[in-house]
Amino acid sequence: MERRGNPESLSHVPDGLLVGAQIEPDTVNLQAHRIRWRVTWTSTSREHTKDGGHDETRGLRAMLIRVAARPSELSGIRAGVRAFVAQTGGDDRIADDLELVVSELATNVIEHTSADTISVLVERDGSGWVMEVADADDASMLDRVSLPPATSPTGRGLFVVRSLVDTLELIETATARAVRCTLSAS
Amino acid sequence: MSEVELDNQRFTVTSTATGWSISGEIDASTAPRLVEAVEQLPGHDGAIVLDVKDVSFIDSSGLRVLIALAERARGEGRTVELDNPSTSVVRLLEITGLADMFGLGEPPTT
Repeated sequence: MERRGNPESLSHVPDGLLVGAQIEPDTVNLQAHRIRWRVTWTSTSREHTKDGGHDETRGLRAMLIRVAARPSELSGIRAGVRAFVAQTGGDDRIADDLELVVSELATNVIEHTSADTISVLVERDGSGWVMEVADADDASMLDRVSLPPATSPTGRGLFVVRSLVDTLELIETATARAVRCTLSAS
Repeated sequence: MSEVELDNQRFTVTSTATGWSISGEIDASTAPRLVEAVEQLPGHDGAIVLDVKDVSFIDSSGLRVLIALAERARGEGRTVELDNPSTSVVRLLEITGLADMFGLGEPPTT
């Protein structure tokens, strides 16, 4: 599958590459959502300033959320993603879709991995949005994207994700494994 | 009509004459408490109507609760119907093909 967007995926971004500033309330109105965690912006936005994206979005090209892998964090993760989409030119449809996608993928981290932390990287690139959620469980997970019987209580999360995104893949490095998906702007 | 109301900050369940009214977010965080809440509410005869117009968000974890409710009702010879479904609810049911289970299937064309 062709990769697009910023090559510095979540799995590759060391902490040293991150701008550790607190989110500015007047830049993204995250305080209204009672976000308790810190949001950091990747320094890769410097590259994007060259294509004019900096002016349109005040330099916001990527957002990294790292929170404890607890169900109580899901609502805040969704609010953060919605706020980012709104700040990067997305409409309600994009926000609705990415909100549902991140909720499903973050829930998978909680329920199917032993990770202590949920990491969500969202990037705005020229064609749309790229989202990576880590950790992911074993590589066979993307095979389980068919619908279960109607009466089955579980097994629909990845099917929902695949229904909403344009591409869905598992990326794997020596240190981490993440689900990566893309959603085009149009 | 029983005035039972359970407020868990992110969702509210209220007993109505024919079922329950649910509002707020239903995800892996709130779903377990939603199950507890519904179990505390008085039972209903006949079809159980869930007013979900104020469900602002639901994902497959929340859907799991609705399916469990529907299955339990069916075991008792009853049905669960969703009333006034919000766009979030409708979208998830359409994606998963479960609209029929909750009485939201396409009306027959004549």
